[in-house]
Amino acid sequence: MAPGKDSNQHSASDPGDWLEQHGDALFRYALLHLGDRTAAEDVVQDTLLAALNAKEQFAGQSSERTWLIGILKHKVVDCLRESARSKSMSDLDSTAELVEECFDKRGKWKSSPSDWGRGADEPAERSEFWEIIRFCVSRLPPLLSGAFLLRESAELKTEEICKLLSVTATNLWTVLHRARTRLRTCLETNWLSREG
Amino acid sequence: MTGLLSKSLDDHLSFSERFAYKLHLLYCTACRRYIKQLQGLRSTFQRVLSNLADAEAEPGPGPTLSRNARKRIARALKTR
Repeated sequence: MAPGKDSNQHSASDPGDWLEQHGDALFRYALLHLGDRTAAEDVVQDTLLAALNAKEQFAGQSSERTWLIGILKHKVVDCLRESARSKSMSDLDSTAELVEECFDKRGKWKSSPSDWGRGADEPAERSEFWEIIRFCVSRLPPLLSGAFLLRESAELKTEEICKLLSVTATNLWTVLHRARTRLRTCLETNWLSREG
Repeated sequence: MTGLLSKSLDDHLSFSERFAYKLHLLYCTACRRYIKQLQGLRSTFQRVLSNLADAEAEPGPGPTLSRNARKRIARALKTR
């Protein structure tokens, strides 16, 4: 394959460079989903190994980064499914009270959502926001973070997630609701109290 | 109500469910903010992910592989 970039075709770099060029991006993606550095490092390693074994199949139809992230995504979904399933019933029970805490006996907000201002529009703010999201996701119990990530990141349909996690649709809506409520509160607290 | 708002992000609501939450949003500022924040959460999250998937994009500050992790992975890739 001719070296150098061809504007009509995605060029493949030397696989020896993949760790250098894509390692950090893959790691960040994995860390966001798994919350644990060691687990994320292992998944990055597995991904690059799988990619090396499959490199003949990569014919440049997408960008290299997209292709690698695709492989990583599959492995991450497997991890999420494993950890969410193992904790599902206990996580479902232990998170019941959280949503009710936000509302008084008449169903009104105890303390209503604040104004987040312009949100994360600036790039520098965006990476701060990223850090906060990562922190907040990592604080969720496995069933909640797993369901949330499978829905928002892997963009799986609810039926697919129900199958993966062995939960009913009603339970899934409850789980997603709890995950979003917790995340919203965590984000609001940390975003509004950040310095600068 | 917030359960319904959350569900609206995932699945088709019934006619009466949709009616109920649209009506509610007409007068409840708190819930209007809530749903807007949930939608913002979704779009920011997706923006963050597509940024990572774009090799041309500026990576920006953030977590990186430690030197030890890099060495370990590089070794594993060489000896496969």
